[in-house]
Amino acid sequence: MIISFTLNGKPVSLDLDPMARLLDVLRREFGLTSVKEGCGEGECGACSILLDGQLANSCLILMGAVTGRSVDTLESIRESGIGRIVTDAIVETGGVQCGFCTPGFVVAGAALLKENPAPTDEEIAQGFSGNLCRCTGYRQIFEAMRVATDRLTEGEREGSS
Amino acid sequence: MSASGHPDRSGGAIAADRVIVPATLDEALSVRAAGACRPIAGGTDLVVRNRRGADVPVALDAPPLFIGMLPELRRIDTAGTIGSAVTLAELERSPLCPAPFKPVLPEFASPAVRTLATIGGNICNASPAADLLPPLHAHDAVLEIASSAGRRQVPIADFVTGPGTTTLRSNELLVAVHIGAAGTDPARTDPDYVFYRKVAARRSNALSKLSIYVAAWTGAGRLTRIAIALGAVAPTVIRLPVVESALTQGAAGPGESAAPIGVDATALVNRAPVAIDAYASVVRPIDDQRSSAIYRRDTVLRLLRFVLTDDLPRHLRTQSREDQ
Amino acid sequence: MIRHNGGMRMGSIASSIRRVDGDEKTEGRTRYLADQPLPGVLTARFVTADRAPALLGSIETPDLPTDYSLITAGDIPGLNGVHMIDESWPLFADRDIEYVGQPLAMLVGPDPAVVSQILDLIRIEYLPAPEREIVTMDDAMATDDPDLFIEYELSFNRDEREWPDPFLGSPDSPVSATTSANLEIAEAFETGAQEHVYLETQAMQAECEHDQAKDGTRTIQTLTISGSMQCPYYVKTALSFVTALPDEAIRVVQTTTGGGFGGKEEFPSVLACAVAVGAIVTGRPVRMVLDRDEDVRISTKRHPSRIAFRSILDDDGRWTDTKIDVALDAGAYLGLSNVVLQRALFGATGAYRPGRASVRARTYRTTVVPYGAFRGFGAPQAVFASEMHMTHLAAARGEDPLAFRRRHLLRQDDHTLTGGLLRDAVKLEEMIDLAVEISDYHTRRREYGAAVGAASLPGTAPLRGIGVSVFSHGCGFTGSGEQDVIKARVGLRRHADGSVDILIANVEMGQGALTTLRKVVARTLDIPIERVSYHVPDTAEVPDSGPTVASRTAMVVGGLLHRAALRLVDLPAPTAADPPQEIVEHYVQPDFVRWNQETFEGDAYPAFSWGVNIIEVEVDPLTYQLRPTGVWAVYDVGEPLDERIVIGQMHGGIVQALGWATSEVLEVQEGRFLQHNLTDYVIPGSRDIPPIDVRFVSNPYELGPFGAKGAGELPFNGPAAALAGAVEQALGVPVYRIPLTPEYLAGLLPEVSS
Repeated sequence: MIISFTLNGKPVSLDLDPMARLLDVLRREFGLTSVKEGCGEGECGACSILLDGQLANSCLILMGAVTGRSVDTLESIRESGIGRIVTDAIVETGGVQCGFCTPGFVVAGAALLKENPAPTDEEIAQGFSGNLCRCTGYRQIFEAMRVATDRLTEGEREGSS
Repeated sequence: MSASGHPDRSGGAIAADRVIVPATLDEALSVRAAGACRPIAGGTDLVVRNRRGADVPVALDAPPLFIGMLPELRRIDTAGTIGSAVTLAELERSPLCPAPFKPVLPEFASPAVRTLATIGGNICNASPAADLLPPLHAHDAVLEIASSAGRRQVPIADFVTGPGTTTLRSNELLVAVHIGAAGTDPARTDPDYVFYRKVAARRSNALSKLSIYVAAWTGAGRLTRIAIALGAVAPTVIRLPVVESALTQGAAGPGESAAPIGVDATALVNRAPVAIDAYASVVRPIDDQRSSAIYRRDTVLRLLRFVLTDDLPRHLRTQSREDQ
Repeated sequence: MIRHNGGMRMGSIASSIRRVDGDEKTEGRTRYLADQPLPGVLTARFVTADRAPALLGSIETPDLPTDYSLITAGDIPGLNGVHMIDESWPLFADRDIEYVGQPLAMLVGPDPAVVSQILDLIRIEYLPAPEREIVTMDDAMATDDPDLFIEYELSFNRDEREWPDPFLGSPDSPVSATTSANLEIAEAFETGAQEHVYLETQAMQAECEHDQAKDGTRTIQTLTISGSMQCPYYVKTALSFVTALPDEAIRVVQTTTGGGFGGKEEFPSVLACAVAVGAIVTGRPVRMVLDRDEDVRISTKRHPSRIAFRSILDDDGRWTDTKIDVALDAGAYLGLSNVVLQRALFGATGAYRPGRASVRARTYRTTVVPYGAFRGFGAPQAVFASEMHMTHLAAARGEDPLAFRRRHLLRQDDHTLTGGLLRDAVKLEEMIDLAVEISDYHTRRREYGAAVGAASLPGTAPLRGIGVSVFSHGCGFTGSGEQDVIKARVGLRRHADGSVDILIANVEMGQGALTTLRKVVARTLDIPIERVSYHVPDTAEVPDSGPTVASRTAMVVGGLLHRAALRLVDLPAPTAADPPQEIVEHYVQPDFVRWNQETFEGDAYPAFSWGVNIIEVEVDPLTYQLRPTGVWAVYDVGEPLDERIVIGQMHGGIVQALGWATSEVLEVQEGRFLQHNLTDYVIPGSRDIPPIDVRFVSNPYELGPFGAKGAGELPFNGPAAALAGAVEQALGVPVYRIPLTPEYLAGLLPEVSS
């Protein structure tokens, strides 16, 4: 089935199995390996992407449901202003160890800040409630979000996006 | 039994011409009338249940019918009607989100799952642990079911009949949920007291071990109406309207010619034990990999006792003091 | 004393730098095995047993298309045994099936969807094994059959400071009491199994390069195994048994590893051997990446434990005698269970000095997936039990749990349970003082606690409690393992431009080795860290510096790198005309280490790291759900090699241990795990984390690089008992096992159960 959608800002159209998972298509057809499989059941968030700008688990999405929609992965999110701030902050605070969960956290963190530029601690925890990490114990990732929030506010004052 | 304990499957990916992406609801209903198919909206339950591993397409037991983007199924209106393919994230963000869902949605799975999961999917999947079913039961939600032959309205209590089973016929689709004003009573108002507890293995993103949802309508320190729904402690949500009425039925005192409306805090506390016994006799949870029957039972009753003998009476007494 | 020159310029090594692999990981550029495209690679899936114990009759497959093969025991060129301590764990069961989930064969083919379809059609014929039944830990303990366990014993009489005869007789004989004022306390504790949940599941790949002789015969020139692992040389050794290939034909390369925690210490050898046989048989590259559900169902886990104490307190409240019984569930094969048992044995009396101690430790063979290495490796189980026992001994005396501990702490120049000497300063008193200060422990301890009768009519305010633990972790391999077994060698290669390559087999698995070890070499040589590279662990390129386990990477391997770098300091750099300079440094056991592996007498570990945890908890009186609300942790790891990285390790270890102690329920029924996916096996998420305050106390270890000791496992040991102690105060009842599920807690309170 020809499935047309927008991927990382560009229109794509490919003959794909509509019952294939978006996760597998992103990794195999498009080489977007930042999107990872950690559980296949929507529990760990390692497969996080933005679907029409909203955080979603690509392991749960079938290609038949993607027609006409937009998908963004870390490969494009990391180039955005918010994406750069979040990735940089996570490295700075030590919120990355083995790195396997990290792309999912960056996507979730960027999604949170886009919607809520000044999240409370509770909102940060809620925003990450679908992302599992086994290495860091989460605290340094939370700290990264506080750093990112501060930088975002400074940036806005200075007029950058 | 096959290798690795997987149930037998017929094998083979579903051919592209057997996957249906209808453009309109009418088209979807024609497909439903024509033969076996599996409606899929968010897919969060179906994909997990039917997944087969990395780089293997998901295989359902019948051709999938993608209904998630049908515009007719995606509206929320001011009269408390929610399209069945409205996602939980959309519902959460909507200014028209009915009050009963407000405490429940943030506890449902995770933000990423809420982007995909739909209210219709949660209802039709009919898990005993489904998070939306208790508030839907408590507020007498009415489901709008459509087929190419027409529409019917079904109260939620008549729709979900057991774990994973509903009265949806094979030629039908759930198209909308009516809750609140558009339900049975146009004069219905939002409750002024809501108690919701979902007990799960952790606070982040977990399946319910048990839940309790209580909505109460009060005035001048008196309880006039109450709705109690217990989740995941029986094959379906427990709701006992007769017991609810008995709790709130005013009783004429000596020398009174007419019963006052509702009951005050003291009367509520006095009536609670009989009510709790009634729930205790129908609560029948199971032991499973998430929790034990005895814990589910004891905890839901403890929470209920807390509401009826402690929290709600306190709300009534505070209200009655404020009115003075 | 090893001194470092040039360190003054940059301040302490603990000063954090930007983690060297952080940017590529946050940007999603890092490629784990499954991310690496490999044209022509075959997907491999195990065919596993779903019944045990049983005998394998046959495996029936449908007609297999071209390029699809079923690999079985008959295809193994060498030994059908995966080397760990021994080779008793078969690669593919070919007759005796010992546990549900045991690999029987492997299906390989180019299209994962077709492999999946074929798997569903495969039929396994089981023959009954009439004399065999499922053996649980209860069964094994009840029969006392010596074929079903390994046993160790240890005794110590501190007052005599010499190696005594066992003084307490058989495990069941009554503990002798001297005066009637003595208190005798007998109790037992249990801990549950735990799954690692590394976010990247097990993943291994095999590729064969062949030589073709003139007569057309092909021999394998190189078998290359790559994948997610902690111990490339362990994998290499296992491969040589299974493939029967000469050493030089086997090459093992680690790919970026998405978490290990011990789960990728020995288990990867099973996958590696399987895909190797697949590549040899098919002549094609073969890759296996486990699905999460399968990973949980068939991979190794933390050993469940039951540890019993019988102790005497004299009328001064001194812990004078103790008899301890340690039991670990090993699962179906030996794996590493005897070594895990040793660490639990050596840690049985914790950070304390009972007068006399006698310990019997057994690990039992049962009908379930073999249990294996997991952060702490037997110590967490021993620490939980001994810390709970200390808290209960204190309670029996009506003493504060910390005050009681302070009177029994090990000190410098004391002897350990194995009769080893604590040569280095032990800073536990100072650490306890600091933990008490930062947590305001005494104020909270006085304020919290169940009001009398609170459990009978639960109110709404949460019940609160605060608990403590004091603990250690022996750094490095037990006893003379480094000297006799590992014989680690590290290499440094210096180029004419002054840049240096680190050549070691230790892996980065998130713990920061890529950064900290480069820091060690850079600081020793006084060159920028950018001039130091850390070659990917590839057995064709690096010497065997030993496994990435046992909290040895920083202390032992880092120590070797530091010594190697010091040798380079004294050598002139090569000129452009010279070949690069190569230095190899061999491990030499410190001369103060005395160890008898037969009697377990002497210095079990060359150094200890220490910790103090104080944990505060709230318990909901209606649901008995608990919520840790504060963790204060003070550690002595010598010197942290990078403060931010080591703090990250501490946070991670604490949260992983809190999961073990609370929500990570793993139950076995009929030899199967009831919880086998991430929906049902519940690890802590972002909304479940308390604030955590970590402090370090400086106590440089003479033989560690810049004073560093082991740090990776230490933080896992403390939280469970500190949390449980807090829960005891909150509920007013003692607890005896983890996980502390609400189901368990509700059952402890008689007023609560119906």
